[in-house]
Amino acid sequence: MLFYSFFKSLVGKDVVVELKNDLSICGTLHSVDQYLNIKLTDISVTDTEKYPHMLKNCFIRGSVVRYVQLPADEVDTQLLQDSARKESSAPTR
Amino acid sequence: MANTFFDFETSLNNGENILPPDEETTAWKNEEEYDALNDETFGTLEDSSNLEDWEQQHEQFAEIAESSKHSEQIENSISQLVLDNLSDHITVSSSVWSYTPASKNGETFNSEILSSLQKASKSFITSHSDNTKSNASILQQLNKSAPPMTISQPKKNLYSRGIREEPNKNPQLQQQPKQLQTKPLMPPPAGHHQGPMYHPMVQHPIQNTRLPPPGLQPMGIPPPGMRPMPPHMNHHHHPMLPSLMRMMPPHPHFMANGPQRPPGFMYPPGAGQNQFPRKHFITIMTKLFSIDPKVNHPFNFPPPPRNLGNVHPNMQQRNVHSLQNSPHGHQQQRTRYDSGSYRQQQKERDEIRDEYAGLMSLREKQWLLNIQMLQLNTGTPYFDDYYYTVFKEKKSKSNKENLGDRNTSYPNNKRQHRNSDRQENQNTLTPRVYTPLQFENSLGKLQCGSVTAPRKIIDMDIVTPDKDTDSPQVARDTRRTKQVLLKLEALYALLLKAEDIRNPLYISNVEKLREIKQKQRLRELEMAPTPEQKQEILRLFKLESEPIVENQYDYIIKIIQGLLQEEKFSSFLNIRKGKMLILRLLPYLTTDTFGPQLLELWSRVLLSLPIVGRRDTAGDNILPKLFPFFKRYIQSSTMTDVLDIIAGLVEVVKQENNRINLLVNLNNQELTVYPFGVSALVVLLIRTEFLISSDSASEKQQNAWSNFLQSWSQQTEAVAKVASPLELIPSQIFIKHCNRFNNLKSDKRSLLEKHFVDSNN
Repeated sequence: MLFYSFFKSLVGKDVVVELKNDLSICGTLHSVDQYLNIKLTDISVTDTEKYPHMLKNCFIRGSVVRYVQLPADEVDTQLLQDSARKESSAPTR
Repeated sequence: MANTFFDFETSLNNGENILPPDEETTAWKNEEEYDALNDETFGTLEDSSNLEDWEQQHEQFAEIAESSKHSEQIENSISQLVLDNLSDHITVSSSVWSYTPASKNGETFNSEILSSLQKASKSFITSHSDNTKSNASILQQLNKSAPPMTISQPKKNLYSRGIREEPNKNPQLQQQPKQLQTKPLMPPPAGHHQGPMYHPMVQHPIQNTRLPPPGLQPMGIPPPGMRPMPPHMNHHHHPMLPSLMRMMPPHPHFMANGPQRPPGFMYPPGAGQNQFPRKHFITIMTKLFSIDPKVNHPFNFPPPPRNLGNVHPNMQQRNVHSLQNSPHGHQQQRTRYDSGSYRQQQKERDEIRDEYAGLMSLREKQWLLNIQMLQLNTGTPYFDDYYYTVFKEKKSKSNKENLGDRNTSYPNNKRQHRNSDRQENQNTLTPRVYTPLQFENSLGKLQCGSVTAPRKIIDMDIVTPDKDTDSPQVARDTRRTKQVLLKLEALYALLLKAEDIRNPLYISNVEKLREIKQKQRLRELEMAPTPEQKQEILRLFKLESEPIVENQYDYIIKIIQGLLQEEKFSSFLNIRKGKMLILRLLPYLTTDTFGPQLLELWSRVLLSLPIVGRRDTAGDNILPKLFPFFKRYIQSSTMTDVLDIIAGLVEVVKQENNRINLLVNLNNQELTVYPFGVSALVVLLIRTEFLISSDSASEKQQNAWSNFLQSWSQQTEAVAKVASPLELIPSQIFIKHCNRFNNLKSDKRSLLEKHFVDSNN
């Protein structure tokens, strides 16, 4: 549950989610679940004219996400490395 | 495996029914004989234990849905029930549920047709009399369970009450309460047309329709102002109700599947609220009543959840339809205002087009979310949720420190907070303009793909090098680096374990894990069928009960040995990971327990400085962080240690006559270039002075040291840019020190003094 844990720590921060259909959505991370489904609030797209029906919030299914661009200062890379190591060595998995 | 398959045996040799050669034709022939809705395919609804099996339930629902698709049946029943005076007008077809504008008696047509349909459904229901029995048993089961289900009974009454409260303009209304109380299982009329667009949440539409979820809060009674509704609308509640009830979260379903619930499952807090407000319920009723039958209302089922940003194309189509519906929609929206529901009036105006908003209150949504979250609850977050747990802890620690340290600048902090808040607020008010990522000093912008114009991705091809002689070298290098990395990872794993031993979070979580395992074993013990298995479980239980005592020392010693075994120690230091490993390891290496290892370690570090130093100063600058540890170590070292350290730095070439001439190793030169090296030398000097003054250094040792001093000063002269040490030599110490050694010429001495001595002290 590494990435679920990781995204939980980023709740409330601004992220940009790039989907597999090449759509990029910028918004504030509202919540995430174990399937890495993402809820964003206050979203904006590059081309608002093309997507007028984009309201303030959206729910993105985890499987369609290609990238998530994060703010660098919110990430503790050392901790992330450690958690990756623990994840790989955990006996319960 | 199913027992039968279209009435054929499922065994491989076919048993008795060996098919003739032309298997297909006979198989298809038999299709006419078999009834698609037979019990064997869809199961019976005899006992309530079936309810526990969701598969069977689903089959039942599918059966009912299937059967409703058969327009034949409906047509038949309708033709049976058709009223005399309408026999001429009504053209009953499979499109009976669709909007047919070309009708002479628009109003009466629809109302009559629908009433007859209702009767048809009733007959349909009674033909499946088993359903009611099972429904009753479902009800019982559900009633047994906790608070949420107590709503069911009052709900039933409210159903009828709600309907009765409506204007009794249509006498047929009176039939309906009864029908409702018999739990109409009318499948949604629009369901067939909309198939895939069914409400995403609902799995078992029909059996649970009569029971609303607990705490269905935001329902409101429409004010009396709603009464003057077109009478022809009253009939629609019947087909609509089941669909509406379907919209309710499948709470009863959860109830039914008791044993499958997650271990820590508690009934959602929202369930306890039994203030089943009839208000809202009747709002829904009137919403149904108010829908114009002339409009495509069937297509509006099931309603899409309102708060999704992305609208499915089907939904868009429906929205168009509902636009036509707008006058009524608006009306009913207004009624919801007046009924004092939770929504604000401003929002309502924005959502005029959406008739199906507000089906779930915030509490209900939270309830659903809680159910999802409950599944993720573990007793051991340190293991399952490592990043988040530790991150939060670190953050809270840093916050506490900040609060402690910055009490003086508190108004500043407050101001900062306010600024950030203001920014946040502004963001929510004005739509944020998103610009894609832009890099400095780059030509052009990042390609931003869209759905209509996808981004081109550069393909990478492996280009084989022209020269074959290079490739083995390259391969060897990559292999070596990979080996180093692998070794580092192994050491890291050990380090993490070592760190955990003293970590309170880890300790508590391990305890918790052990308790959970013990409980699990006990449960297994109870359920174990044979005594041998019981023995096995007991054995495991005892094994797990013993607390594992781990020694931190063992781990540390393993790590340090692993580090020092490597010949090319510098390869570790070249990689950032390696430096971090040493940095994290050093706090555990106390001089008393790890003396010799530390000596070895530091000498190697200093030796590899020329190789590693440039990379470090360019990038990470981690070596200076090692300095405090070095200082700590040196302050408890002996002269021998000091000399051991510098021995590697200075290559002593014994010339035949002149022992003083030293060919200084390149290392020494490099030392003076890097801040870490220089700081190390400074510390060494201070220590040496201390040792000499306390008479811990022999004559020979002092000589060796003075030689070193000379070479050091020579190097300082030679090097163009001398780094400044992290700590300077206090001048008194320096003066004292230099006076001991007469061989240090004055200019060299002044040079040293200039760079390394603290002039203030």
